[in-house]
Amino acid sequence: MVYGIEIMVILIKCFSDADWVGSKIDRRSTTCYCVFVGGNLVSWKSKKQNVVSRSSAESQYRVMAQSMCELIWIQQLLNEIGLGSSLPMKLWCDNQAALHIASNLVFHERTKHIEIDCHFICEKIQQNVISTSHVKTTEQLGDIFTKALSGPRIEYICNKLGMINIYAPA
Amino acid sequence: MEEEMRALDDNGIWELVDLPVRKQTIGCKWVYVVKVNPDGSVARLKSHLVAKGYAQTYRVDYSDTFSPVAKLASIRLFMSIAATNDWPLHQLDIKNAFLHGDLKEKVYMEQPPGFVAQGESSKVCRLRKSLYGLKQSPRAWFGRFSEVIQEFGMKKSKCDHSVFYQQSEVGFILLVGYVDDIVITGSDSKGISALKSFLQANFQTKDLGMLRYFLGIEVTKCKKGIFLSQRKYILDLLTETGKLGAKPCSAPMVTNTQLTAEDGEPFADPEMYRRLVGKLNYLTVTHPDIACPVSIVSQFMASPRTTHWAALEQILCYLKGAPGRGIWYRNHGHTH
Repeated sequence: MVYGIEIMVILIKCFSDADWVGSKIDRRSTTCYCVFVGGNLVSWKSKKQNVVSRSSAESQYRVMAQSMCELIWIQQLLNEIGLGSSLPMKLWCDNQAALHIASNLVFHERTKHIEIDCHFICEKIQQNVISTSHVKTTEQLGDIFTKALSGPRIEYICNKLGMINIYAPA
Repeated sequence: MEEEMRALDDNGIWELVDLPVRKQTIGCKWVYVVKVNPDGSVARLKSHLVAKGYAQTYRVDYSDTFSPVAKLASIRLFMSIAATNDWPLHQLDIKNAFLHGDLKEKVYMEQPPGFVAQGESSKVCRLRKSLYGLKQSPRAWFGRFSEVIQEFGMKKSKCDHSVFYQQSEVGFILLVGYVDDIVITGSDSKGISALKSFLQANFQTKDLGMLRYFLGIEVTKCKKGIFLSQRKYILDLLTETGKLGAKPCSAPMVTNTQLTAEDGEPFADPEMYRRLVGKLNYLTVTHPDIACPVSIVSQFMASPRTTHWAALEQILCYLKGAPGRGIWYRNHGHTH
């Protein structure tokens, strides 16, 4: 379909992170993700998971599945209103182990119990809905949603998230 | 009050009937509200007639009550789309929104205090339209609203039921509704004015012009993008807690500390703690930077302790550092 107006191709990107056994009280992990649509931060979450994970890859995996749901919802909404794009969405995470499980469906004892999440993510990758890649810990914007950070680091991430203070003296 | 009575009469809210046997009436009363502008000045004084919905019985006076409201993520997505394409944002307000909903159930109400019809004081009001306070009002209103919008030719989104869209050769129209607050954007300016007059014809609307203040969020738009902040909300929060003069700090949470459920003394005013956590939670709408600390302090809502209160104060001091901070949605097409 060609319309007289130019429509920007909207890319959806997501940073996902998990704070493994972050809570000292019950050793549950924290889910964290932030979604950018066309470079603008639209959705984010920081929430304690409701089950205990036995490894960091496992908790990261749950986060990937959760952020995937949010991403798919956003893409469906965009497609519906006619602004979607067929380009695969980008999902970044800083856990190599989780990425390996996502790219090749290898099951062994330690991933058996998260089978549903594994199949869900693998299916989406094979359908080319999403592509996953690794992000260096220093570039991980999900950091701000997982733990307490120092002032300069907060400044840096806020800047990347597109947070500004328009009332600040320039 | 007279204005409200006129609005009720104009909309044909009820008819006076004799109460059928074995039917019960519900009471009603007047409620007075002061509406405030973003700068704190008084906008207008209003009075509402509300039905005592708590006296309604399930399956007799009402059945379903669920009514969708827009997700905050879809509101932000909406703003981001408007920013990227440099589309104008229009805001409409529907007057007496709930009075437009059609009631499916038979509900009988006493006559409003001070406005009992002469010579008919034994009669009761059989409600035809929904009224503030009834359990099913939001649902009735949303049903009517969505009908009217679809009559205009817009489609309802399946992903978020309060987002409506239309796509034609001329361009796009997008609409998002949050109960009676409506925001419209799109590239089809003729279609948008047609939609506005269509809504005006069906409901009484007030055109608030370009969007500036929506759900407590201040919206500033320019060619380069859209800026969302909750500056007034933060300043009010700081005033309420007496933190206006506090020393600002650079981080919302002390690094390398863990809050536990047992440390410290029980906090003296748990209600205040809970209320403040609720307010901070709403602040995360434009403040992703405090999402993590807020989620942590909200884990101790049940029995807050002094250590948790200290963590909450830390968040307030962090907000004090930059109350005007917010999210900036860039028009990427413009910058390239």
